[in-house]
Amino acid sequence: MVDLGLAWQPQQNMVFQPGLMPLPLPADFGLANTVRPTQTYSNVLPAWSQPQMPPPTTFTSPSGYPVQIYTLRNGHRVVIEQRPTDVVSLRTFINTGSVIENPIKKSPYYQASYFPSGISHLDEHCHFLTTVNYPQKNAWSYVVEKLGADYNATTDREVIQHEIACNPKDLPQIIGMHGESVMRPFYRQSDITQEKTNVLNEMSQRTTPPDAKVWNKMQELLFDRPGFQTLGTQEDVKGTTAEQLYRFHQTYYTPTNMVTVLSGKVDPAQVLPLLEKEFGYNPPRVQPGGVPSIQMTLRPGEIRHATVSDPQLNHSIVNIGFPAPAKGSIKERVAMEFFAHLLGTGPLGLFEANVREGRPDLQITSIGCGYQPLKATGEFDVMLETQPGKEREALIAVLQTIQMGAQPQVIQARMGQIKELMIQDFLKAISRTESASGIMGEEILHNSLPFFQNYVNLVQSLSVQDILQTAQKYANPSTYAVVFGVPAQQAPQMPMMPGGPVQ
Amino acid sequence: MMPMNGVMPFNSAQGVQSFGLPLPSQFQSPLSQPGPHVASRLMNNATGYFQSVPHLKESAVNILIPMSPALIGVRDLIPEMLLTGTQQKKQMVSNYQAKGISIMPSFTGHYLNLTVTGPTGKEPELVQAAFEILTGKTTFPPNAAPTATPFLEPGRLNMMKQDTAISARNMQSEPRVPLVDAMNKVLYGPNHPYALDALQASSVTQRQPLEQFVNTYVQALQYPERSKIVVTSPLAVEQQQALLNQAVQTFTWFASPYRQSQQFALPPVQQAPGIQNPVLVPNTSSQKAYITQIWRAPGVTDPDYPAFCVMRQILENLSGRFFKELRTNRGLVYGSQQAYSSDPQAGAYYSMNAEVENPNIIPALKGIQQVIQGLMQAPAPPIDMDMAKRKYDLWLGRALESPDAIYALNESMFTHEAQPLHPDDLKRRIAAVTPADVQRVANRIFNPAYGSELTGLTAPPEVLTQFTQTPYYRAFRDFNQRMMS
Repeated sequence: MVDLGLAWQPQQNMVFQPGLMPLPLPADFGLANTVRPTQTYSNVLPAWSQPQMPPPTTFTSPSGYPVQIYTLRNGHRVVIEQRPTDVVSLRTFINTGSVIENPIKKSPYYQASYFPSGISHLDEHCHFLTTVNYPQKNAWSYVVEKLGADYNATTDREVIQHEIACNPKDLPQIIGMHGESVMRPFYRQSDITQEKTNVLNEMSQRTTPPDAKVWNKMQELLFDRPGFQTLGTQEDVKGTTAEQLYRFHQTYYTPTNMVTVLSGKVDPAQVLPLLEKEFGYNPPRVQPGGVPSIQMTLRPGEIRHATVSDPQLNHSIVNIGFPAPAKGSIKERVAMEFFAHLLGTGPLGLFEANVREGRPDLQITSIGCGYQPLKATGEFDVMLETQPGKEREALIAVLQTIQMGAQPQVIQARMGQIKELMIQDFLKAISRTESASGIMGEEILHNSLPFFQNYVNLVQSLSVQDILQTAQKYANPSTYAVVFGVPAQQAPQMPMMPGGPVQ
Repeated sequence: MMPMNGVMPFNSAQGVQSFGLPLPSQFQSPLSQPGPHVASRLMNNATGYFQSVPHLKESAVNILIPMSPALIGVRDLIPEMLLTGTQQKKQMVSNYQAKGISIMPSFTGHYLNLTVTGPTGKEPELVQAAFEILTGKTTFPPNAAPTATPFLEPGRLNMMKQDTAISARNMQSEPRVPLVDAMNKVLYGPNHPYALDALQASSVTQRQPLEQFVNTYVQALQYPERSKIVVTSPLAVEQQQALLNQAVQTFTWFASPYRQSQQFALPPVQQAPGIQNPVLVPNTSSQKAYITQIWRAPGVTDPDYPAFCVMRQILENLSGRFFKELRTNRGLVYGSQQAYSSDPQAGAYYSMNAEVENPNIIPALKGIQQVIQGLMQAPAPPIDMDMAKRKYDLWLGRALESPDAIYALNESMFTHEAQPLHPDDLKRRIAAVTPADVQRVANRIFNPAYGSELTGLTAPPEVLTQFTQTPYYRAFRDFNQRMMS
């Protein structure tokens, strides 16, 4: 087991402020600990600090609004999009997630970790409980709510994000509260114990629906990593300690591992000093080996399958998953998006025409597909509902349709339509302030900003050949995973396809 | 605000060089406000509501056509018929989709609501799309002689009927669906159209011939004077009006002089005040319990509606009292959902849903009661009132970002035959609500002497049996016996 508690190492010529990362930690995370992180505020420049903040990188967002990317002196990136709206969105993204946790399922692809499963998610909850300067439970949320602001946070496999939306006039105070929550959570054992009940309730609710169980299994087949890893196991969540949470925060909430995005009616001259105060005194440190990524474990020519039986189902679910382009492969990403639209969007989508309507005998009530890029890989998946006993035929129909879609003339026939649809969908999505900050922030965090900046051009320049190559490379009927969700009374069947393309 | 313990004041002059760009001048003024609604009679007698909102990057056209909800099982298929009833319709929808124009028919209370949105600059195409979908006539490509397309092909109808039957059956696997169906039968009475469950509605659908669907729709088109067209766009109101008037001439909408349709009024809903016996639905497929509580609520045109909106802000979301009590303080639920619906004939309802572990059923019900008792017994403190109003401002700020959300601010007013309100009016009404108003409306809704409450619970059979033996359950019955006597 790797003890990541010792993982963060000072960079050369870097001096830690004494007391910022005290180890060993006191056994009792009582109120006495409030002294510790307040020392992050100082009028004296730390020794590691760059003397000045470098000039920002600027560009115009596809919505036509000015964007500036600043790097605080400790390496923390701040993105400001100025748009004339009556809501301000403030988000901080952290390049971590359940990928760093000890795997629920042992796998050669993921190292054992000091951090138990579910810790990223539990930690996210703890940021709203008590903070260093608001040590009374729920005092932080009380202040934010009284301003009428909405706050939330999400944890995924490769990213955690904390968000607040507020009225523009409250922004200065909200920045302070956001920094407090993100940078100075206060892990008190008694509060954490109570919060674990909420996390276990959430776990119970999210893992119950049959389609969630199917999705969980699909993640395991594709990535050797069950989807419920992010929620963790009950034992791990119950056993997570305040010390582990503290170390998790210290290890991954590092300046170069974080991006803060503001979008709305924002004046950089006003907010930058406030952001510097909140995030600029977090000492730089690195994780040896960097932050890991989710890995695609399906090898070319490999087909994996599983069946999930559930008494709640009175119909069947078929979920088919393929490898897909990673975030950084921006040209392949737009090609994959195009292919997903060709198959799954609108009444003229090939799945609708050929699988749902073209095969009424399969009694498919819904069919859709989606593409999700990750840092080192991606997933393209098809989900449909059919009747028990029809699963195998439905799978074959889907694979045949995918092969049909990967034909030059089929792609060419809908080239103009789908390109325009993609561009308009994108522009519509980023026309909302909160949606724009979410999309932009995650791309910057994972170093794929050009995808956001150049999306329109990337789509316009797509050729039939680009799409064909991407479709053949990824959505290949000889390499996929399939999960069947069936009613419990149905004998679990395995309508397995022979290896190789469907004939 | 709590004190920042031991925090040294930050001196931005030391070490921080700000490269902050000044706020562009166009951002220094408030967001350009929506103009007023301008109502006018169109050339086909439909009422047009036009609103110019200069900052928008999208436009929306909403067409509201009365279609009685008493036609459940028949009207349910009409939105799908408009989109995919024929191959030509599918092609048409895809063509518009490729231009960024989305077309979405749905039902909003007693109205069929066709929503068409798209980028600014394409307003003529938006209007054309709406009318092509609605009338089945097309002038696409431009300057072509108008041709009529049928609304529904037999093969498509069979497919739609099959989908309806399978979906209705599949829905039964979701434990909350049978619970809501059973509660609707109690709320509205067994013979009310709203009491039809999905399987019953599907059964009605299966029996209808093709002509029934088409005729129901076509007959609805014959009363243009009852229809409303709402345009939300950066275009000037005069331009919006001109576009609409041109369209109603081109597409000869509502041309038939013959009034063939009957009006299907909903039967009145009989509902006595008080607490009704709980609806218990055994569920064998899930080990969990689902609680639903429903109360009668003020309608959107009721004078108490603004106070009700403030009350909801105090109760709902992460910062609301329900969440605080049930999750933050007691850890009984992961979350709870609240909903509101207002029907001009069947009344308005406020509901609360939560999924709980079986041992937490009674603690959760008591927690809900505790929250609503708190609202009834004391005026909301000023700090809660201020928070609720700020939350409303934020909600309004979000709504002003898109034309469909701006339309949605007034959708209920349109469907209740009331005049739309400007965002400033909405803000003023909310600002005028007092703590006493909130307490009054809480009593109106939650106090059994005035309001009407129905509780539903679905859980494994043995859990329900245990529940009926608890003093909590007996209290329901005792209350009702007292009311009856």
